Amino acid sequence: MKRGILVILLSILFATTARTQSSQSHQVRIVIPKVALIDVESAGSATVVLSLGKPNEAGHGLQAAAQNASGYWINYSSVLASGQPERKVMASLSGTAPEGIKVLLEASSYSGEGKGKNGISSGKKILSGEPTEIISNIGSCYTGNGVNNGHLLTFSLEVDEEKYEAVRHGDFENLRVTYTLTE
Amino acid sequence: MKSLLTTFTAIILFIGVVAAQDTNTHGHNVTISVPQVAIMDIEGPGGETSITLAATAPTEAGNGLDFSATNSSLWLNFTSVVSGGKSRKIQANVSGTLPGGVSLLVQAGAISSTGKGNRGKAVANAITLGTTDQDIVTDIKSGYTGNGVNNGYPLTYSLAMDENAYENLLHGSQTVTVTYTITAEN
Repeated sequence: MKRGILVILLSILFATTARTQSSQSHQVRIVIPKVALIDVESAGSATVVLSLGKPNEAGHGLQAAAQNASGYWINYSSVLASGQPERKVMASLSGTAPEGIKVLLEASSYSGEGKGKNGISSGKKILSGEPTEIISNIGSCYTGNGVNNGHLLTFSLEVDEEKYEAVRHGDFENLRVTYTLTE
Repeated sequence: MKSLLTTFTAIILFIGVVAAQDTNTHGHNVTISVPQVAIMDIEGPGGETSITLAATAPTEAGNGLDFSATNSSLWLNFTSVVSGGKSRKIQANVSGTLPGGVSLLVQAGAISSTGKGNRGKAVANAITLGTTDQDIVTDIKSGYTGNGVNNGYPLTYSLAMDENAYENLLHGSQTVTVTYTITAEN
């Protein structure tokens, strides 16, 4: 009988420790890295060649170079931090540019396989040693990689009529355009 | 233990005797109570249950972030004893704010060979965690998984990015809480 009571007591003990519902939580930290990458892609590696046209008629000046859709595309990847201003692409020209000649660059509007808030073309800009904005309003986005993704670059030349006397015949090589993705 | 068994046998015999004869004897009722049990917890290596999932930055301009990182370090342990005909399930939800466009997914893998009994079955596909509970393991009856990592159901966490919401993505880290509950299924 004593043992019987023991069994009953044990049963009661078990019953009081029983739980029929249970929850547990844990934390998951999700990390999104900061990203600011830019490059220029083309199908080949050809240098962009820009030429001014001869006048057809004595008495006229040099003709502006035809638009040269260079085949170069700007690709970029961008992830902004909270509160960070949107980014832009700046272009600058280094090397000795011919005097009296303006080098112009226009980024096309965005097209491609990317996603997010891709940038807006700033239109045709004269390149100089100082960085000039060619694309603005870049948020968190990516353009897609390679040609036909991002912004196509189109170059052109114009004679600076005010400096016509400084224009000299010749090939001007080793000019370099540098692109920077910046705030 | 042996003496306990003897006692049980004695009690059963005793009850039998009581039923057979209603004179000259004296008896009492014995209640044997097997408790309902539903205990569950999350186990991680070294007792650590906080995990990190990081998107990877591209190395090539023009490419998006890589969200393929996974984490499989946590395990779901439980002990369950049900009433006849009853079963239980484990559900999961997430609270807190996920980065813009990012979803958190979890899937229970194949149960370990440890433990005994009817330990249920994992839901076949990864579930996208939301604020409301969703089933992750169903059809649990009486069983236990064993305790600690490498026991029970392994949990694999992954991320998914809604590419159409990419512009909402911001650099930084955010911590959310995933809650599991073992509860009656029927």
